[in-house]
Amino acid sequence: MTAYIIRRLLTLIPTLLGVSLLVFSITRLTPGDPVRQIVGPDAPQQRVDEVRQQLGLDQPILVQYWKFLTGAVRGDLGRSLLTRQPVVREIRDRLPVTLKIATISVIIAVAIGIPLGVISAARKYSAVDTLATLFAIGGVSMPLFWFAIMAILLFSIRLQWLPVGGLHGPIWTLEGMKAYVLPCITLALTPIALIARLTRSSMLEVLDREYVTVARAKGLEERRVIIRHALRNALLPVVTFVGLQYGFLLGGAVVTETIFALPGVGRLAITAINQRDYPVIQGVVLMVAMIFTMINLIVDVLYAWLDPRISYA
Amino acid sequence: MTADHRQQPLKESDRTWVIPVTRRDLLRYGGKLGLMATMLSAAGVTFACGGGDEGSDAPQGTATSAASGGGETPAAGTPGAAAVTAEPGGEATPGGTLTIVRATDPLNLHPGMNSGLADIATNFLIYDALVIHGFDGKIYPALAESWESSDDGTVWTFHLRQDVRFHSGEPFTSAHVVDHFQRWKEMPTSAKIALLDSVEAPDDYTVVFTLKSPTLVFLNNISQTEWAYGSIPNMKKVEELGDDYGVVGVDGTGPFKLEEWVKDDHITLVRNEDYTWGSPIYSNTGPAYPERIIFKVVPEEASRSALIETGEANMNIEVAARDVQRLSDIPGVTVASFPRLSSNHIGFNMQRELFQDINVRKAIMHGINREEITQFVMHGQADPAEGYLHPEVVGAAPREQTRPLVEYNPDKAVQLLEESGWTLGPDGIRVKDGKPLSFTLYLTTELNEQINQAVQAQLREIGIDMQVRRLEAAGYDDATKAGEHDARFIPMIYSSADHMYFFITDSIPSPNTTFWSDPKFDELFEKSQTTTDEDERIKTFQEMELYLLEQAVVIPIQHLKWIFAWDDKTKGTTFHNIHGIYKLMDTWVEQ
Repeated sequence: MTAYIIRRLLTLIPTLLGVSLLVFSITRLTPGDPVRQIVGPDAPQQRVDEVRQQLGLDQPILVQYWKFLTGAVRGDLGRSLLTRQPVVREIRDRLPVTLKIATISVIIAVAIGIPLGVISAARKYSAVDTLATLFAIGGVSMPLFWFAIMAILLFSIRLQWLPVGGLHGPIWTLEGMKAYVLPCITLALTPIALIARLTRSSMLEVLDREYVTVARAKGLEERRVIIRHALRNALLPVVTFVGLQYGFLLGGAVVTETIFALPGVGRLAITAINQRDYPVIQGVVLMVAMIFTMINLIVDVLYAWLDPRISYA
Repeated sequence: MTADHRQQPLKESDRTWVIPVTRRDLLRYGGKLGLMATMLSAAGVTFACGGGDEGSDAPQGTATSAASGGGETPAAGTPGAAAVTAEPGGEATPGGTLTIVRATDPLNLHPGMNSGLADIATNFLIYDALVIHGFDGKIYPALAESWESSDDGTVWTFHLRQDVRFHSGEPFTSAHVVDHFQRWKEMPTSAKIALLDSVEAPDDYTVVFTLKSPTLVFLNNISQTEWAYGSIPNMKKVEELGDDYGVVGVDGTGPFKLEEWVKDDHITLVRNEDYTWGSPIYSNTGPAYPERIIFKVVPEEASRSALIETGEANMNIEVAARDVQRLSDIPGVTVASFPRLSSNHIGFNMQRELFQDINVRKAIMHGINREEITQFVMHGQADPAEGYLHPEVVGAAPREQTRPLVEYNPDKAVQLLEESGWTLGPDGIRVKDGKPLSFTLYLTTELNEQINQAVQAQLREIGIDMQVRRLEAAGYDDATKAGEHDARFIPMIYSSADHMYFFITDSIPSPNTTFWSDPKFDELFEKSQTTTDEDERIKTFQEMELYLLEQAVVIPIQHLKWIFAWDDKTKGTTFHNIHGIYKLMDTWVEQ
């Protein structure tokens, strides 16, 4: 297992190299000039050229890429063109908020989605199943921004239970915690629906298997059959999905962060893209790629734990 | 309650917040009256000497608001500003926290480092500059008590206040001014002081600027009102923090100190208790009233309005036009719109063959019903353009002269097109020599797209096919600079008529994305910049505006507005037509 993990970690290198090359090329090929964004549209061309030179953006692309790469290896992702701050610090400042909302949302999604899927599968075509299906369809189809604004209208404006947005102190305080309730529920909505549907179909497939019939024939209690025998095997695709979903949310929940005014990585990325802040875009994309790869690795390791038949020896 | 300044002119009694300059002020600050008058004239500034109630001279509000943010284009110049007072609100009491919501967070609070509007608005509160624009558009003393210029207008000497300290306790001296201007020359926004040759400090409280050639707008450009670039930071702190200055820490002389900055969430400013050197443009010269000011960053329009509704914020300084009605219905919330110096307009790419025909350009000018667009797209929160410049900017031509050049007259538009041989095709689009009368308009932001979808429908009725292409800001800048567009639409904010340099030959390809090169217009602009006679300068600007409209190179659509909402605890807020909330010296929060 250790050898497998090391091997997988080594594959990170070509992956990140590929990602960096891709994002570097895309940012340079997209129309838009970061220097114009800095100096303002009314600055004369001479000033634009001078600033471009100061920022090193007049150098050949390959030279710029090499500088970026050698810096990245040392953990230096450069400085933001606009704030002149180290990109690592810009990301580090936003990451805690994104980590919190992504983690809480995934926990909510798993805690609600899996039981809902299991119940639906166990009571196929019952009223509970129909309701869960309806909820799932609603959850997947409802636009996030619409749900978020409706939630603000109800919980913040009408009932005045929860704040509209922004941070309200550390998360361990009551006020601080309240600020995360609406964003996390909004963000969890789609994953709940998807996890419930995925768990249901996966469970139905497993429940038809012979070993489940054998377990039932042996006279095992239905609850035990479902949880011990069926669920564990049905969870494999769900684990994959949850892992990917978590990586996705860590990459920035742009809409949710925007509506609830949360200072996370998603908003950092959007601002950087709009203003063509190359080093920040590169930094965020690299970080997301790294997180995705790591989560994939964790998921693969979890497989072996969930299903002893899988071995990475 | 909706207080639309245009529909409800301020009563004389409401104007107590507009502080005019009196003769006594002139003597007090000028010293050398003759010299100063020459200098101010050279700066494009006129003093109205007289009694205490000269606020009535001041135009009431000016400026633009692009409600959706992006794509706004600040330009240079001398202002024709004005103030509108929200509510005098009784006797001010110090204390409390004023929470303000806005859409964006600053990037860097080092003055001059960038042109972001949130950066500028925050720097007004943290720093002071040598001089600032009053609500009447005139230049007033700030960190400089008085100033004079040499006869040839190339040497400017400023005498500084001696009672000023930075937030850190460091005394403010001329060395800090010299240091900032030297650094500013290397900063991205240095175009404002392109003509500055050298800056020296003969003693601790005197600064001497030498210019490469005389310019009318020097005083204007170093005023804090010009995007806060001329705000003076503590050079020792700048030196100590290097690139981190403006993000990790700041040190200014302004009415508020930076207490906390959580990126993309909020900035907390705390009152500078020692502040007694406030500019005379406010009734209160210091310290400020609120103990704290919190700027919350809320990008989503609906969420910003919700924060006012729930009382989580006192003031929203970026209200979307569509939220005006909803907010107005909430008890205790006041919504007001004020003119903002701006012109959102279509500009043709004059390199296109289609637009070589002046009749086509004029037909488009007369084919647009601006009143309808203002009502239906902007919910009435804009002023339909009757000329290119905002009517309250110094140098705007009289509306009775500009109106006929701009007015909606579809019959005239059709007549112009037929004169040029554009005949209606079977699909309702005019054709000439087998080519359809069709072009593509480049623009940014959702609001601009909505405005121009209305224009599109109106032009379709006279047989013109206008396609709309929306790009994001950076892509738009590149495409228009490269001349890929047939026409482009921008909401431009400015402080004076000087911004018409956007249309001179030297500004091609950027900012002159119309690629219009006209010797007469260039000559007029040159004259406006070199004359030392203020009346002549104004007359020249008027000629420029009329010529721009006669040639129909740009098609003005609207002058946008600032739209603010605030709760009933917020009192005494004065709005500046160029910079909205500005320094907030007279604003207080009811406890």
